[in-house]
Amino acid sequence: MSSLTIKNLNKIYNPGKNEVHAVKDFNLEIEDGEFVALLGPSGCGKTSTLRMIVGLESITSGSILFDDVEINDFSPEQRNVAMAFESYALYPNFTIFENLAFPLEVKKNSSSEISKKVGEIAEMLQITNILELKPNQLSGGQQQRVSLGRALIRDPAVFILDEVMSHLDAHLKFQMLFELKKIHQTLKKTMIYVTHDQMEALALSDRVAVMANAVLQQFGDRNDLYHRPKNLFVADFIGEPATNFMKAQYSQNSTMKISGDLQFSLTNEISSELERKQMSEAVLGIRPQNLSLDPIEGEDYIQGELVINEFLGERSILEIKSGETSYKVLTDPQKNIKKGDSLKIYYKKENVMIFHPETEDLI
Amino acid sequence: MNMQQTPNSDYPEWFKNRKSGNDLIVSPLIPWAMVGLPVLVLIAIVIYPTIWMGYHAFQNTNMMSLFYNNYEYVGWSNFYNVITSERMHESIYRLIQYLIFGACLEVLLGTILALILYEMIKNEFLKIMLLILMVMPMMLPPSIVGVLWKFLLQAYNGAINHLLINIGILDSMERIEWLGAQYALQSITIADVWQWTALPLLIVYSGRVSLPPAIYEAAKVDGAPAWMVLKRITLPMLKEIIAIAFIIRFMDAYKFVDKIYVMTSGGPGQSTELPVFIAFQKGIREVEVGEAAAYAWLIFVFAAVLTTLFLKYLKNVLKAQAFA
Repeated sequence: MSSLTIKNLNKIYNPGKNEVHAVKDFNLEIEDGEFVALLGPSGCGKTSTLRMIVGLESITSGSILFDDVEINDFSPEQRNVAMAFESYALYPNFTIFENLAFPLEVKKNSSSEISKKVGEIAEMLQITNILELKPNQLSGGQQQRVSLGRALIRDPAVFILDEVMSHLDAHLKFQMLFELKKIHQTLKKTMIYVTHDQMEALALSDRVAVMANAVLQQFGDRNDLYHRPKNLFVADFIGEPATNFMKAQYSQNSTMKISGDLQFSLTNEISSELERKQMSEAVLGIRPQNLSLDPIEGEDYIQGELVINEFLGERSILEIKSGETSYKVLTDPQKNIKKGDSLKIYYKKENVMIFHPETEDLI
Repeated sequence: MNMQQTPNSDYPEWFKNRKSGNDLIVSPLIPWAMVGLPVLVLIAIVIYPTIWMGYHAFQNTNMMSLFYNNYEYVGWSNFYNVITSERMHESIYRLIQYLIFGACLEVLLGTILALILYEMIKNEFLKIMLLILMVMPMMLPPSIVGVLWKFLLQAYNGAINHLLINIGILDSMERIEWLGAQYALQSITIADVWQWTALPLLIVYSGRVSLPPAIYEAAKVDGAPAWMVLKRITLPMLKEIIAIAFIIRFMDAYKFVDKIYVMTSGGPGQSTELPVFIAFQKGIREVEVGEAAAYAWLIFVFAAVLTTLFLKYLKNVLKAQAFA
């Protein structure tokens, strides 16, 4: 068990020619026993960060500390980390039992101890019936679980899980998320989970670090990310369906004008902030979940015309057009409205997010 | 546009006259002419001689009887003579020697060099340069390699003996008769190893390159020491590749004639003859056609069995890997 601190971490591939700055001034503090997800789109530098933590990649500058001990120059073995790989990386010539036993064998555990521990892990991951098979005889989901098991069987300081759910089908993924959460609650170990899937990240972790373009955008729990996104990227990346963004002009008496008659009211704090900064233009964002056809949700409303009613069973996504601007609304299933209907859409002032048009930061 | 084009329009674009756009008019004889010539060549140089050989394996044909056309049927006696001849037995014993000290050594050395090259040399440029350097002997024609080593191994004025004298292993008057009866087979083997070690090296090297790097990262994270990774992971995973390299060298061994011909011509005496060389010697030099044909048949059966076994093994390997 240990806490993990990352200070001003940088990674530059091919310094000099064709330089790629994969990780820029990355700072993160993970508490002991915390489950943290590293979330970001492909190529944002999350895997590079993780490989530096594990020790598979050299650190260009900055430092990584486990329990206040700098481990920059330690080998992966000395760091005592366990990692589950995206590509499983099972030893193809070993049986599943041998695969699970290998980390213990390296540590020179006795064979009775090994079979006991392998049995426990296999029980937990429900793979007891395949221990005698070779990896190439297993399905993707089984291989994934074995790879997870090989990481869990050790007693490391930190667990690193690299996109371990990406090859599972939706049903199995859901089940494994649940299992993983349970495993974390039993072991109470520091875990870092890398993913590009926000659903996994939000479901599993205590806190989520959102990365984009080699830079850490925001580090916080799901409430922070959802309701107080630091910038436009986080607001856009977190949440499904994606946040509605509109170009807006600030006009007097606390409203943002979008186009035509379409306008949103603002809270007093935001409007005074806008006035203080003397900003006339901004980007307005509002989540589809925070728009509603039901007046209980909020006293303010906008008006628009229904374009598409996408019925998804337990909910509906409506596409609404007001003048030239279209946006999405997530509601309870709606069967009685049809294309062309004029609707009143209610919202709360507090849920309107305003972003700076250039820096894209939240105001 | 052109009315003639429509009925045969299912011909591809290149099948049309470039100037007029009409379909090419092909005489029905042309396909026959195109296939016929290679078939004739094949019949002349492969099929007819093989049948002829099959026939003469059961005749007492030699130079005189061939000339006067008075050979006669002798049953299996040619085969009997071959199988019971001392010359054949000794050559098989030499073949086994060559397999152990030639083919095995090549595969062993090739594997070691390939793994050292891949694991130890970190500089990419140096790695490729060394690889090219080590593969170079393989690019030379075997007969040239034979001539080269014949010169190097001359007892007097040969570079190898000079080297041994200069570094003090040999007395200044002492000479090793490399191509004498005692060492001739070993000398040929050395030349062969020098040339062909590169083949297993290339095969094993490419096999090692294709192993997934994530497995090695996993082993690193698990904290496995290098020798354990080599013993438990790398070598078991390269097992099939190494076997294939060995089988290829093994299959080359039974048709190994070139260097023997150039370096010793089977001599001194008959001390460096391998089975194929005897067949060549019998048939072409001594014109003992009947016996040479029997030799050729036996070698053919041996090769066919070996190749079948090899293909069977290869199929199993491919089947096992098709899961992955």
